Amino acid sequence: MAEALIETSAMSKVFGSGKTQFEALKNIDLVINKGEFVALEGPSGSGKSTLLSIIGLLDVQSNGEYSLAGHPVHTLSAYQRASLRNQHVGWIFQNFNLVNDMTVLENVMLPLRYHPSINKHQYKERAMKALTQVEIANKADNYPTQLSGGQQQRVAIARALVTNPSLILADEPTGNLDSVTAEQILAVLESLHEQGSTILIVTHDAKVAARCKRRLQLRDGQWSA
Amino acid sequence: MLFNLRYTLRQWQKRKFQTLTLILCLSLFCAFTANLIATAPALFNDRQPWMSGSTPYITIGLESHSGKFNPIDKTNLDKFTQSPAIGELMTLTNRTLRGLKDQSGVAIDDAGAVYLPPSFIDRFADELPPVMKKLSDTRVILSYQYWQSLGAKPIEELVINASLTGAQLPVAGVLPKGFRLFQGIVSDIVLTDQQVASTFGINFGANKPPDEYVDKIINQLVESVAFRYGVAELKPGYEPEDVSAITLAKEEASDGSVVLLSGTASWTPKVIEGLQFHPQQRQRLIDQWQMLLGLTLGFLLIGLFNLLTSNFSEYLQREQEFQTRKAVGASNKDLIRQLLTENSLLGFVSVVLGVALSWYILKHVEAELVLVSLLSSEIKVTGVALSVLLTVTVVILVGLLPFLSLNRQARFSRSKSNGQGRLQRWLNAGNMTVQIALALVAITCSISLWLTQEQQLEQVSVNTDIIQLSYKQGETSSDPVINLNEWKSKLANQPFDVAMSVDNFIDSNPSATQASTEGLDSPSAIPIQIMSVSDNYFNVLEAVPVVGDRNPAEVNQVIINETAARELGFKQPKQALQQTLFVKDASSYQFTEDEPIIIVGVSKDLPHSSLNQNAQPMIYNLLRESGQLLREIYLYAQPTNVDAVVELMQQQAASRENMYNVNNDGALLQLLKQQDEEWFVLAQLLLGLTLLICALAATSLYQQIVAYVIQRSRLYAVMQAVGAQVSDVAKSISRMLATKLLSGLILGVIIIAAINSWFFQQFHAELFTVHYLVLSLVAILLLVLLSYIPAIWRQLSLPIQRILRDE
Ligand SMILES: Nc1ncnc2c1ncn2[C@@H]1O[C@H](COP(=O)(O)OP(=O)(O)O)[C@@H](O)[C@H]1O
Ligand SMILES: [Mg+2]
Repeated sequence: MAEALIETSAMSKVFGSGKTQFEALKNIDLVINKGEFVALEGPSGSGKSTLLSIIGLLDVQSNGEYSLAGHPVHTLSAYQRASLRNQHVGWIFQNFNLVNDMTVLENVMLPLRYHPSINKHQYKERAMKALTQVEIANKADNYPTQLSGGQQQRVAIARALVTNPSLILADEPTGNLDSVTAEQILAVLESLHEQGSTILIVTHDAKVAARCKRRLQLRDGQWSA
Repeated sequence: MLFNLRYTLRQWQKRKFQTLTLILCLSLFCAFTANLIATAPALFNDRQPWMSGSTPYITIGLESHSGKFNPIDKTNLDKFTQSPAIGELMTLTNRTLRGLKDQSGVAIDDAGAVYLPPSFIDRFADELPPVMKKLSDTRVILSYQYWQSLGAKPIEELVINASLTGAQLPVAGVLPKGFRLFQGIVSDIVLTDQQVASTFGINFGANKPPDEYVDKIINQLVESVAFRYGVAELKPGYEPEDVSAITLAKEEASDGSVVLLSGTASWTPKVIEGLQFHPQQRQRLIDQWQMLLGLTLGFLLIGLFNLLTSNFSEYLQREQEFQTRKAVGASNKDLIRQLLTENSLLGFVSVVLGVALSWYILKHVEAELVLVSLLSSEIKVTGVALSVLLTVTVVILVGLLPFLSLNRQARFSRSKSNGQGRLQRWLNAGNMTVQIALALVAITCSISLWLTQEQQLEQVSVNTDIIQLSYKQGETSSDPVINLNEWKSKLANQPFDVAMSVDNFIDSNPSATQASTEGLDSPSAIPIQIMSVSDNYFNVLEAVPVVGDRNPAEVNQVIINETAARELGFKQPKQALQQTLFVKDASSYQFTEDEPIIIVGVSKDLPHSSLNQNAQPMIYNLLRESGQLLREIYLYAQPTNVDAVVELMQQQAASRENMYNVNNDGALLQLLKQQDEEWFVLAQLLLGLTLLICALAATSLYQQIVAYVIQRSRLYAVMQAVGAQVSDVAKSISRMLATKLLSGLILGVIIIAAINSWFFQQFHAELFTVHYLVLSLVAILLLVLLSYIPAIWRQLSLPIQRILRDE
């Protein structure tokens, strides 16, 4: 029996209050098991990123339950959530979010610096391993601005997997890339899936979604059939 | 244009406090600059408004060794044919008129008076204000300020009554507002005096008195005249260099009587275009001017740094606005036009306020503060125009710099790079450092000045209750001198203790009187001040500790103060006891040079002139029986006995046909505080400025931290996305702050040390102590925390996921 990594029930998210109040997510029930490769689809503004933020612990739900790897998130402190994020979640963004003042290697090493149990002298070795995994190790000493978009996204992926997270979240990872490069990035994500990672990709591109094993459709903050 | 303006006001609305402090700072810069510009020409170039530039005038004065000018007169001048360069000389005398009353007999304040020779007015008739021609032997004219202080009554109603001589002096007119006859002389009243141009000398007839006695009289006369200046014109064909210093000598008149010209005086001619400030006065003014200049530059520096950082921070926050403006077709020029409007408005509001402020300073602060009173007494159009221009230009140019720098980094277009411009990097590095340093300096100055004044006052070991009373001869009186013996016996007959001294103020110049314990001509002699007191002086001033004898019994016994003992070479005060003291050149006092003087007591230093100067070496000697031409004496009594003493003095004055002024000067401690009133006012002023500087520093620090954090907000968001704790982010921001804080504090301490050493040179006292510095450091840390916490709070309350998703 597959082990559930993400479990939400009747989860909702409300932004603002009073007149400007807006319910971005409504009664979301979702279970994602370890090792799944899931696409989250839906038109713009349907709440995909909001859901992903909550799942990735960058935001907190307003109502309902959510537990990540058995930890009921709403009972956790901000400190515990940050630790959980560090050890269980790897984030990949549409706009890469690399730190331009750090080299590729330093960018990838960044999550390790906040990891409680990884030894300092392992940082470099681990980061290089992650970079090798996404085939960008030769650019380790470059700065992000010296790389192409596809290369930058590879670095971002390396950064997401350097702590061996149980969950990799990607918010439109190919949105800023041309189709050939997007194809390569998807191939990287697929190979990660094959090695056992749980991956959740937000996309509104049907071609990308088609490569995933499971597809979820969001519309106006609710699942659609 | 109107839209631009309205938009600007909306921008200000968003950061009210910041804009307000910035405007205040810039306006202070503008106000002070206007005043500095107005003052500088008069201060550094002595030209008088009424003197044309064509003739080089020389100012000459005779300098006595007490540092004061001796009189110059026509007869003296005639002796100087060896210096043919001097063509025409007119002498001017300055004195204070006391005991003035108005027509109805109400006493009015003492007035500074300038006596002009009639020839002065003839000579400069064309250049002087017409009202000067109304001057005559019996009619005086008033300065505008003095006229105002008398209630600005119609001229015809004004009669100044010199109550001591009974002379009625009708007022002939008022000098134009702002017109200063002579920069260095307070001229409330301008009078003519035939005598000024005539021979000054004393004819003792055939009975030549002993030389020392003659010297004493000369000294008394010299001091009563206080200042005498001469204005002379070079004869054609002579250069200023042709005028050399000439030494005067005593001379015997043809009838065998002695005509005394001041014995040790010498000419000190100086070529300047107009009458110069008295050197001492000029130096004081220049010191103050420089102090103001420092303040002004401080305001400029703080203002500019604030402008730069606030604009940097603001333009970064408005990045999106600029991008959008560009996207809808605005060119760089259009953007600059908008920002130009914003900065011009800032400059405009600042200068309007600045001009108002400079007017206010002149109107209201001048009266209280000598520091500001040197400022020109009217707002000069050129000065204001220049400072307005300067302020506006600086604001516009500096205000635009951040935009140009950010624009070069393409921050405002889609293809932005994330690197920092050089200007911004430099600013980031330097700005916080400077702000922190200046805030530290301001806080320390203000704390120190405030506390030192109060503390110094507390440390003075004078019984606070002792009242000083004075009995003074009227300035214009020719009454015989005060009879010391008479006073001594009168005071001795009182049932309580009354002390007496003949001189209660101490010259701030190094005195020419020398003292040594090793003989008259010893090279180790030190300059010393002498105060003649009654034998019970230290009994009445009972709070002053004295080692040895408190009340010397013999005329050859003296008490010296601790400073004198130290400077004479005694490490312990009591080592000086029973030593023989030699005093040289104490002609106006009662020492005879070959008479041995024994030190019988050493007193704690008593500040006689200012709390802010180190005590000077002092000798307190016993009042002797006779020989002095006394014009005033001072009495010291317990408050309970004051009425009796006043009555005694009034009886005495009445028996002299009321030619003496009887005054209750007030408690000694209060008198000391009054002497330093400037310092107390300065302390208040500085406190106000410090609050402003701190407000500026706090807003600016806040802005800088915000700008810093905004530029790195993505970094911090990424850090948090990969699992960094909030405390990790705070730590990273703090680390940046800590280095700036540290370098700012170091810079501040260096500046403070520099100010302290400058202050020490000026006033012979430390301005700061470690104690004050520590207090200020605590204050500055609070200030930094106050700007740091909201800035960090601001960053940490932003939703991370939004930042990460933003382009
Ligand atoms: N912080 C926020 N405050 C208010 N509304 C928000 C916020 N974040 C997202 N929304 C709103 O929630 C809805 C869903 O947004 P989002 O999850 O970004 O959509 P998607 O990623 O599917 O395009 C949108 O209407 C958006 O305007
Ligand atoms: Mg989205």
